[in-house]
Amino acid sequence: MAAAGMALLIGLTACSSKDSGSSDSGGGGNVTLTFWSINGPGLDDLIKKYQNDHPNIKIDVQVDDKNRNENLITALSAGSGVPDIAITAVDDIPLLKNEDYWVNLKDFGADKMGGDFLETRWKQGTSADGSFIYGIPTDSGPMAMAYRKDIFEAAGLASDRESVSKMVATWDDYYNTGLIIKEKANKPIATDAYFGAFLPLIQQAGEYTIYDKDGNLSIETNPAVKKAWDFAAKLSSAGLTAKQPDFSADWNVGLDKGDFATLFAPPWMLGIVRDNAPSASGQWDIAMMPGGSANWGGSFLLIPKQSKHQKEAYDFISWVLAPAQQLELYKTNGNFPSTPSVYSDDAFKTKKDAFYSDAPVGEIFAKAAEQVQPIDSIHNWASVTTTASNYLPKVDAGEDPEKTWADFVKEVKANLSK
Amino acid sequence: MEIVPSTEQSVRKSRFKRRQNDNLSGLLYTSPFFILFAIFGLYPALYTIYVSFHKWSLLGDKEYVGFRNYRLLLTQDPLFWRSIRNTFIIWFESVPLQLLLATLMAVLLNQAFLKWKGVFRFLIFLPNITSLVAISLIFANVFSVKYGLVNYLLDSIGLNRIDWVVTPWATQFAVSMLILWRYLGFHMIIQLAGLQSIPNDLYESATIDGASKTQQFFRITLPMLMPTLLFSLIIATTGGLQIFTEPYSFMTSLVGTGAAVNGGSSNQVLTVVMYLYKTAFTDRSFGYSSAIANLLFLLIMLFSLFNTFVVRKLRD
Repeated sequence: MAAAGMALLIGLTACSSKDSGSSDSGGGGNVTLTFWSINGPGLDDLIKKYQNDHPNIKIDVQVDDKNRNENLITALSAGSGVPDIAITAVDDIPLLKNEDYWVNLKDFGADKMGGDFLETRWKQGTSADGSFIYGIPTDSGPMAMAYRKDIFEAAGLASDRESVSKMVATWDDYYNTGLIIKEKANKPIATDAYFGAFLPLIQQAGEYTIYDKDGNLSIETNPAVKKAWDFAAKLSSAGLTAKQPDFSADWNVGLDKGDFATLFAPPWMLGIVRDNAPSASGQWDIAMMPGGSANWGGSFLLIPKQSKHQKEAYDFISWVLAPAQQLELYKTNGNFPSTPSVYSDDAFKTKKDAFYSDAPVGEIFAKAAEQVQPIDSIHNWASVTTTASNYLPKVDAGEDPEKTWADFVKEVKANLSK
Repeated sequence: MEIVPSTEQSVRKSRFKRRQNDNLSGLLYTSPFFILFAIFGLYPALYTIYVSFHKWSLLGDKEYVGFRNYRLLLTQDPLFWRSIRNTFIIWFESVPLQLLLATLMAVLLNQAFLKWKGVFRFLIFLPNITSLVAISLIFANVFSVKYGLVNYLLDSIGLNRIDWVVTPWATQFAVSMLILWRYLGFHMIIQLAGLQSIPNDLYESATIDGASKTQQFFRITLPMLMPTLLFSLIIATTGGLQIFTEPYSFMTSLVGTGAAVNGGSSNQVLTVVMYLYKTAFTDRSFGYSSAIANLLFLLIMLFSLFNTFVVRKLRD
């Protein structure tokens, strides 16, 4: 028992060091590519197609939503059991950027693909100067604002997309609209202080906020961070947050019942809202969010240096992530492409979502994608915002924002010193 | 006369040889366990000690820091002490009541007049084999702040709602209830087995001597049940000190992943193993995390020794 607790950490290494699978499945040029994936990207049909067109290639997809990242870093560190292709999320990529472990995709000519992608997304997959290409972006997560028409109407406000987008063009407008909704409809405008204000504000605040260019913690020196915190606190103390943070049990129900008027959502969240709010069909609509947009989510495909089939792996990922395939995936699965050239396709112009009052989701998110600001993808700022997500519920619960801020800064520093 | 010592010698020799063979085959029979233990238990354990003297993010090089991780943990890390406190609070809120209920239920299920025993046994054991994800989802809906069942009931009898997410004692209580409920069936089955191993003649002769049911319970059942109760207690203690999945999974359903990693907004259900997990996979400080693992090992060792001591005392 005791040993079990103690071995937990390193035991993971032992457990995950099963056969790497990156060995040939037989002679004659047949190659099996191991692909550690998640449920999100929906590449299954494209993989089948690729295998049909390349009979000598077999792609062994191993899906693990829960421990993907843990398993990947343990395998990399152990030096065995790594896949030929690995998927990693935007938040995790800063930690994986270590040239010792990955193939520089530039060596295979990936730099030529760069121009096909949204610049902000492409840069997240490269080193700071762009000389080392770690991964190629899968889908993107440009954010827009989902809102409840019924609440806006109950507050006597206009509820069409155009008017709402204008009504909340800036964050101050958003706050003022929140006050009206609070007064007239007695509903909070935002979900909570973190997802409803702090996180999107940070995502919009420019490339270097939590860390500066050299990797020094700058939450105290960069005014944007404290500003985001103060705005979140202001929203909260005015009673404009529902205290139902995204993905919590209360949030799930709140989506259906209409407990908050707005929600900042990237395309991948639309399905989650739809599933949780069966009776709210036609109540939700989508407008632009305050301050433009920001990217939330999306992944990358990377090739570990230990892969024995780097060329084959690259041929596959460069095909599957090329604009034509991203468009195909958008049509079949709704994953939002990272390649802006396809945004003018008819599929985008005609894409409407009945659940969201027939909002032209293709056009809206294409417009949002072009307003996304670049964000730091060199330093591990996501662990700092995770800490913030832990402290801001206290602000929502009425604790003094200044004290909470001080505690937050203290914990971030303590975490870094470990 | 000359032959005797030589036969004796040869007998002794062959005995020695046989004993050697016995030893060898014994070792061979037990070796699978020791080999597996060495690979999956001992080696990782020793490696954890080695890692704990380094600063290491898992990718990249290890930097030797001596006892720094231990020093920080013991002297400058309130969160570590908090996590130990949380672990014990959750233990105290779940285990004693759990063992009491398990014993009572086992006694009831052991009564002759009760029908449908198999059904009851199955139903009580069911939580133990139900997927934790499903349990967590259900508990998150029972204890969620706005739409939770408990708050609804509190409301309907005119009491104040409880913020199960932000109020430290409330979250701890919710997690304790989850643990209590999940392992109740397991301990009930153990106690039931203990009860059924008590010979019936004891009760028969006590009845003949005129002992009442209550007397029988306290004079026969309880003392005879002591060994199984101690077994349950030891299992619940070593398991309780390592509690991880229940609070983590519950918090994930209740408030989402971010806050779950931290064990709630006041770290109120951050147990030692959760803290270990957080420092490893969120903060990427594997050396620090290993140091926590080693301190936890010492702590569990201490409790195991204490348990053994108590068991010996009780036997004497």
